[in-house]
Amino acid sequence: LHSYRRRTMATFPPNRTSNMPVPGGPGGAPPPGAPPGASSSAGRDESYFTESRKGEVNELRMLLRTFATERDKQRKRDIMKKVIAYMTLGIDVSRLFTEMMLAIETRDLVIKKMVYLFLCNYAETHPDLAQMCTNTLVKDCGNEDPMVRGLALRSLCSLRLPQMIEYTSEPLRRSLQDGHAYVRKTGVMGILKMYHLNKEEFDKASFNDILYDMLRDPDSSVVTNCILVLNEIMADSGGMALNRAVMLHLLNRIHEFSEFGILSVLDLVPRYIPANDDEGFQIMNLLDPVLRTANAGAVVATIRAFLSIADAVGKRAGDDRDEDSPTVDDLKHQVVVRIKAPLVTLLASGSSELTYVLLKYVDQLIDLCPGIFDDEYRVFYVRYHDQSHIKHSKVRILAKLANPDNAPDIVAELGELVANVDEMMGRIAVQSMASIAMHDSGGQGAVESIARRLVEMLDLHGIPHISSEAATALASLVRRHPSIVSVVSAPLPRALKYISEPAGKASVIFLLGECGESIVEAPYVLEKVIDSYDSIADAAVKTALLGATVKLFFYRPPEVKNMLGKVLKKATEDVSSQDLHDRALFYYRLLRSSPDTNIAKSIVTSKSMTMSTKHFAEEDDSELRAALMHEFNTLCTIYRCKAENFIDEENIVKFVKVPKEHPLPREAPVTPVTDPGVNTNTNHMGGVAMADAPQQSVTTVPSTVSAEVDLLGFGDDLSAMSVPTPAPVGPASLQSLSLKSEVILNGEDYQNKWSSVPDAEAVIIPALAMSTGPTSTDGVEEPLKAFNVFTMASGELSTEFKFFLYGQEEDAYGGGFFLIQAVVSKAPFNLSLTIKPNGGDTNPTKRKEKIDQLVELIKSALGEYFP
Amino acid sequence: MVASAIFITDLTGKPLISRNYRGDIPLTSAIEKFATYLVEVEDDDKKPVFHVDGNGDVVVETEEVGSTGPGGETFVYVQHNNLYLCGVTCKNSNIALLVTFLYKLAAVFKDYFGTLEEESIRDNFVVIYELLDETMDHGLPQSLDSTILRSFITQEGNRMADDSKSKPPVALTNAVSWRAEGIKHKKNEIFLDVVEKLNLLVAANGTVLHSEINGAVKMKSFLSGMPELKLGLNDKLMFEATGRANQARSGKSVELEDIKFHQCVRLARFENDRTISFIPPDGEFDLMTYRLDTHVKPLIWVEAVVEPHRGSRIEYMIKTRSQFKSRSVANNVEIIIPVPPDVDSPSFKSSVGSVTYLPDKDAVVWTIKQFHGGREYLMRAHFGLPSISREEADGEHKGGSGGMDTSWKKPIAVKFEIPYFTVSGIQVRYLKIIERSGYQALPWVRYITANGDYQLRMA
Repeated sequence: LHSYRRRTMATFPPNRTSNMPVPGGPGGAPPPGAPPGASSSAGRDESYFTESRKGEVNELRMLLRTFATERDKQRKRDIMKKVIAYMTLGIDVSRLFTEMMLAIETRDLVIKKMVYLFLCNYAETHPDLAQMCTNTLVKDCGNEDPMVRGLALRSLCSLRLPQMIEYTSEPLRRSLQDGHAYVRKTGVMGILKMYHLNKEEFDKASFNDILYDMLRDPDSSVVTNCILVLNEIMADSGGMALNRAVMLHLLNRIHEFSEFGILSVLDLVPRYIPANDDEGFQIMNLLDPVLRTANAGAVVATIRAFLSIADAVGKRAGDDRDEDSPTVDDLKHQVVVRIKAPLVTLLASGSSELTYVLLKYVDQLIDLCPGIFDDEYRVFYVRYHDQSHIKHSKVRILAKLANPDNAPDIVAELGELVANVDEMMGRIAVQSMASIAMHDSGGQGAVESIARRLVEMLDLHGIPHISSEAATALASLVRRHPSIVSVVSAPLPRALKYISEPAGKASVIFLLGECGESIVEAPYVLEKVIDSYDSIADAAVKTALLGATVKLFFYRPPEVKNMLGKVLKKATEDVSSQDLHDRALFYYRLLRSSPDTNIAKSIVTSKSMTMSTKHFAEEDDSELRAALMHEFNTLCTIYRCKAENFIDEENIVKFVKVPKEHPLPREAPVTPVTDPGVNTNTNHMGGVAMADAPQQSVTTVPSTVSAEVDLLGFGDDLSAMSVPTPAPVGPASLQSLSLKSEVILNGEDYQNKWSSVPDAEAVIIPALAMSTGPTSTDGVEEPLKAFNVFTMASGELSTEFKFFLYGQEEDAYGGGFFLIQAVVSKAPFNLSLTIKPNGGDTNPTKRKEKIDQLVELIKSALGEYFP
Repeated sequence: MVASAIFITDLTGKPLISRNYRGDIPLTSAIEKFATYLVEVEDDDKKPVFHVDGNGDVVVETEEVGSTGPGGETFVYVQHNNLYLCGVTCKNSNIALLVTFLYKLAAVFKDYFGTLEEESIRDNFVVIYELLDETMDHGLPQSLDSTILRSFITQEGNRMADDSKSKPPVALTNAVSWRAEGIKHKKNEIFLDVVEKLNLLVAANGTVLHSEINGAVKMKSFLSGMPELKLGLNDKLMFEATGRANQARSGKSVELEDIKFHQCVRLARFENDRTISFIPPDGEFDLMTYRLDTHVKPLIWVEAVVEPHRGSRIEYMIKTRSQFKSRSVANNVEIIIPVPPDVDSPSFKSSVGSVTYLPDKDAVVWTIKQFHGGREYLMRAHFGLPSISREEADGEHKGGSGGMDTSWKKPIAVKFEIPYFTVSGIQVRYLKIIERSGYQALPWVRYITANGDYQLRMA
């Protein structure tokens, strides 16, 4: 470790590096004789970072020209480093392109890396020169060192030169078969780069199927990249195509992924609809340990996955499931209870940036399941050193956590914050306090005690913004709880004198109108305001004044009559605000036209202003919240805004949930299936019921061979056997393959034979394009039967048919078995086969021949579907 | 998550190094926008995630995002010493992940350069480019384990020689992705530190508003080969799970509320029988962190009586008491008492330790080198006040807010360290080390309790 550190601490300028012996380094000895000018003693070589003069680039050019003749490797590297340093400092060294490219042919990986870096940086501005280096890059893609292969490939794909596409697709294709995972994963990412560069060429190269195949790569980092890349290139059709087998395969391997790689799988889960309730719960159990990891990203992604599963398996209103199954809301409630502790821990230990993000998430989860975080309210107490945006978030959350038990504590804490130097903080504290009263969440007596606190604040004439905020809060509160009028009324006339903020002033005037009956001096204080009407700038204040005066008029006509005339005249003549003008006219006409003032009175002083709901109409954002929940854990949560409102249309990805419907009946026993072609490693997750597929699935298979057997438990109604389709004209010419017309094989045998053949020996025929497809499983099974290929089990999914088939050779030919897994996907129709030979010929070439013939046989049997 | 680009700037937003991964945003102008944000937005309004709309205008209030139509980029940044690490994205990305990535990236840099600051960036351009390329490809996170990354990075070319092939990075294909094979140490040792930090918030009236313990088990492993480790704690749930209810009840066990593990710990095993078993990475790492949300008696209690005499002087009487067992000692205790900004001529009298006035921080620090358990000490401070206080002088244009400014009434903060002691009572019962070669390894265990966010509000 120690020597390592010394190595990494070696620094620019080169005189420092060259003075530092490099332990264990190649060449060992420091360069013979320090380079001229590099022996400057202590301190920094300032010229290194000062603004460039043209001369310096030329100097570099001279240095580079000596590059080929320079024998000392360390000095070579130092020259390169100097170029890179200039580049980083924003000095244009692209003039050195030619010289740099001369250095590309080197065996020193350090220099190579730097040249590649330079190349990627300036390729876009010098496409012609860059193109000349292609050969070296392509050649390096075949280097014997995997590091060099990977590096060359990454550089080649990062050049962002559309004209280079033709050179990239071949090395890319080769890299996917590379023996080293580093090269494979770089290659997978290269495909994505190609996709962004030129979509047409990309389509021609048809990498998609290979990528899907590579989801079974033994290295998890390759799988991670496959998922990420597929998601992006399939974005237009809703993300990577996902089916049960793939999902379960990935979930079963989840413990292999790195802490960031795991995210790629976790992000797929919300798109997957579990086959039935039990499977949903199993997935949750499987993912539960992720909540214990220290990676906040993974924890939040797990939360999202859980919520989505809850959505899928929970019972909804009108659902015909049995009484006991939990509802969506129950499940979500359970989920939030489960994730509370991990989230709180992250909040307590996170740095400020993470805390900011997590608070937004917590806020949303509280909206989803009110009450769950209530007992943790102390976590949300404001700390002195918290940054102000964190303080603000906390105080807003505190209001939502209030319940009759903790409300006194919370209100007291909010009270402490009101006089805070941070003005915004004080305002939010007042608003939060008011919100507790508005929502009646504080229990008995809380409303009145909060109202009293607010009234006290109204009198805090030292802090103008707080008095104003308190007035606004009280104005809302009176509409929700008219009973507090008696508490509010006394200080209003005073308050009107010193509240200067328009919003607060308007609120006080409004309150004076509301409480006009009980405040003796109300008309007189208002009169003063009316007299100074012309000096009021704010329309809201004028509007409030108009409203309050009209109201007051009906309570105390004789005192107010004159004032009313004045204010109506002023307001109708006022052209600064259309709204105000119209209102004034409305009141004027109302009063003039109604013969009986009682009608007008009943209109103006009606209690319809009193709210019966806990929200103002404009605060009711349940629709938005539901929409945001679908995009939980994205920017939408931070901004409280739907993605389409702030993300460019071309960058929006709308992921599609799959499969569209439950393929399993809800009561069916769960038979978790992994792709039989995949060798799942021993499951570290212990205790989780996601076992290897074949063992489990086979238990549901009766021992007789029958087309109705539902191996996968897909639960399709197969009882209605259709008339066999007419057998095709006869088998194609077969020389070495002849299948028995009668084979006896039961489910268990099938299972054993399947698993006895290693996956490596399986022959996979991907996606043979079909012109049409069968309408039911019989459409495939019957024609195959005519060719002595039998069905062990079959099933229909929404996106595909799946068959487990088998056949046995005549004894004379070796008597070997062929076990076939066939998948007919529906859109577009195509057929994929996985064939495992068991017994029979051991000669690989003969075996291969037989399998080829078997494929031909299957194709001809199903000839009606092929073009 | 998709990051279009990652860049590092100094505190003024001047770019030091950048990597444009996807080329779907103009990076230079993006960095300029970031600098604009840093300069033009008030400190209080700055948020670690912000949006720049399609017209290139910064949206200061998050509520207003989207009001100018779709388009634009989102910036996410974290601060580290005198640097900002910033990621830009134009998609609806997973932000918790992006933030975690930036933290992790900073940790990797720190691991490489010792400290991460402007100077170390300038000194290591080439390595940083290499690291940026290996940790993220086309805006998608790749390998972030610094022990693993070492096998990719050619740093100074030590691993590379003309005559020897670079070894393929073994760890990448390994199931144990955090540990390379063939590690050798002369002495097989492992150091285990149990560090607990006490967060405390006390109201002005002396009631404890919130207290919690954040604990961490930190390890420094210098073990050869592929050792299998098993850690035994006095975990209450573990005792219960293994049927040792007696021990669980005896009060010698601890109920850990929420535990988070390093990725090396086999989580399924833990879920089953609460055994902590793992193959450790080499070097330093945090094996686990835990949180306890229990009511803890404040280990160091402070009471302050303040007597301000407007326009002449202000007097403080500070009483502190240690509330832990007398055989434990708290080291380097610092009690930081905030004072008004305009005080002068300080004088102190204390029964123990030393007191200093720090005018730049507007605070008095009372330092007690060794504070034994169960003791109580007293300190008096006396300051002069100018005859016209600053608030009064400023009062004119503040609309008569005189007397209301209590900004100097910050909470009292306390710093301390108590070795050989854990507040929670957690104990390491055993640490078993098994390696194929059968060497004897030495485990070293230390305990320490320190202050976390420890605040007592002043009356």
